[in-house]
Amino acid sequence: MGGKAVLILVLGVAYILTIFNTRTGNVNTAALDNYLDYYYRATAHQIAVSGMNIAAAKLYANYAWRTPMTDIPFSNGEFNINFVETGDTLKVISSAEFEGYQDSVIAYFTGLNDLLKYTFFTANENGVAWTPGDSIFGQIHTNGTLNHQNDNTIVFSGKVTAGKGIKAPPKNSKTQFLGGYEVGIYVPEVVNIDVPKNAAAGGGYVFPDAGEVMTVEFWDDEKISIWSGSTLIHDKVSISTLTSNGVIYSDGDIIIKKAGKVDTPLGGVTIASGNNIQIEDNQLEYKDNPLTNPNSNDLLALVALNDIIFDNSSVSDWSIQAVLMAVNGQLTATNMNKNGTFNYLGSVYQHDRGNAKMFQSFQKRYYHDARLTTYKPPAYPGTAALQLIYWWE
Amino acid sequence: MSAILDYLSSVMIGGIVIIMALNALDTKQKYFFAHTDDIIVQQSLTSISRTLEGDLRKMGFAVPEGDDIIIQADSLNLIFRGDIDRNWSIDQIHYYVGPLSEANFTPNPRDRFLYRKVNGQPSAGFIVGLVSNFRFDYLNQDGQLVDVSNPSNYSAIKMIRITLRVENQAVYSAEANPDISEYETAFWQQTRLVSRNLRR
Repeated sequence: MGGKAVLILVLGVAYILTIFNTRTGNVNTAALDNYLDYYYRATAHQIAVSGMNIAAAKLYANYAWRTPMTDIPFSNGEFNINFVETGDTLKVISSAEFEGYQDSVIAYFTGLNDLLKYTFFTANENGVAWTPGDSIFGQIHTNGTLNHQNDNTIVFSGKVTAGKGIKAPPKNSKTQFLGGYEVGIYVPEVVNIDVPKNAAAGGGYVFPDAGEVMTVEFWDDEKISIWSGSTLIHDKVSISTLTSNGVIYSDGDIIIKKAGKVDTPLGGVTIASGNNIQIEDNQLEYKDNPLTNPNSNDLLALVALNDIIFDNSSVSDWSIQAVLMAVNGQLTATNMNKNGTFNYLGSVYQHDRGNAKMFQSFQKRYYHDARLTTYKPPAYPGTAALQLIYWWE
Repeated sequence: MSAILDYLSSVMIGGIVIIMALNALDTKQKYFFAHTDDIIVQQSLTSISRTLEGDLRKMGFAVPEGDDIIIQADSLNLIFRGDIDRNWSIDQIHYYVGPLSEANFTPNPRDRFLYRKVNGQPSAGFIVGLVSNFRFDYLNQDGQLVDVSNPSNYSAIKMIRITLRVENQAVYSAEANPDISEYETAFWQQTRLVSRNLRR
């Protein structure tokens, strides 16, 4: 009797333990499933990211590349690359699959503000270094070597990119690279001013006396005066009347001066020269200051095939609000050895960095005009380069 | 006499078997609970980490270049901007850890709530999960820690390191206050979480 009871007890315990074992096994399986779920999701995600990196590399090598990639095997999964182009924006979609798990990464590129995104751009830094007290708010790029004097009062608030490197290397340097940095980046350069030249011929204003210096004087009320040499040929004419598309062009030199603040119609004004542009006034500022009103309509671009020259013969301190481009030249000064201060708002493009003293030993303050991220001056030269604007994953 | 001895020995053997069986059942039950807790902790961890990773990778999406992306950053608190639902409207996302006192109802003395708010909603914060250890660290592109006590350094943040530990809320134990080491623990660290929008 007792033996039977013990037998029943042992069998009962064995049965209960078997059930426990089964359930423990199920829990173990659930734990593994949980781990695998995370692993599969993470792997599918990484394949999508890798696919996008491959697509981005192909795009940067060839901006016109739009060939979809289908069922590309990668890391025991596969990815697809597709394109959707809307206006200036190119949307690239990388969709991946791994063990039945799917994920996608989307990147948005634009060619709209390829150069205007930079506060300061040079093809060649010309051996000029950033010096103590200099501040650059926004992105800065050179296709050459960026030099700085390794001082903690030099502040790059935006990302710094350089084709041939940065001296001294930013890691552990005293100079503040607050927006990060990247080297080995080459940005295509502007090679001519055909865009504003053609735009001026097609609805803009073309200065008729190429052999004379054209002087443009700004007034406060969206009007300008134009001289040919010393002869006034347009007296306080409405900018919109003079140029329907906002572009003014001369094959020869241009002098910029102002009787008031720079007041432009909606869309802005681009003044382009087939040679040099000289700025006569040390306070070339917008009537409606974008720093206090981000919706300001006032926008001026000065585009010179060669140099943009600052007439510093009688002034030392500068406040300039304009987009400046010296396609083959540089920002320079009439007096190469004069010092002072330089406050700037806009976007600078120069082929060779100017080495006038006012651009070397000044305490320079370069601010990016935030409006340039969404629109650009009329017929402003650019390249076909694509820029990553947003990344979704 | 021999029958009495048989009964006595049967009772003794039976008693030993019953004690062994009860011990085995207790051990097995503890083991089972520990495993179940383990899977719950793991699932909680993967759920929290997936939510965090998903949001932080979208940091800065649709935010124009030059605009601030990180609004506030410290070890237990992160506010950033980004369009997390891709409707081209920029959202403000807030992750923060509540005080220990909020989770007093659990026997685990280290539990705290991890909250998430999107555009200030819900006002009391959405509970992402219970964490026993949580920390944000902010790194520049060289992997060096950024001093976030000065907000002007936020633009130097290019990567975020998230350290996260989840434990079960209670432990199966004969003790009223079981040792802290008896809690099931799952640890996760995302050492280099990078949002590409921080590195455009």
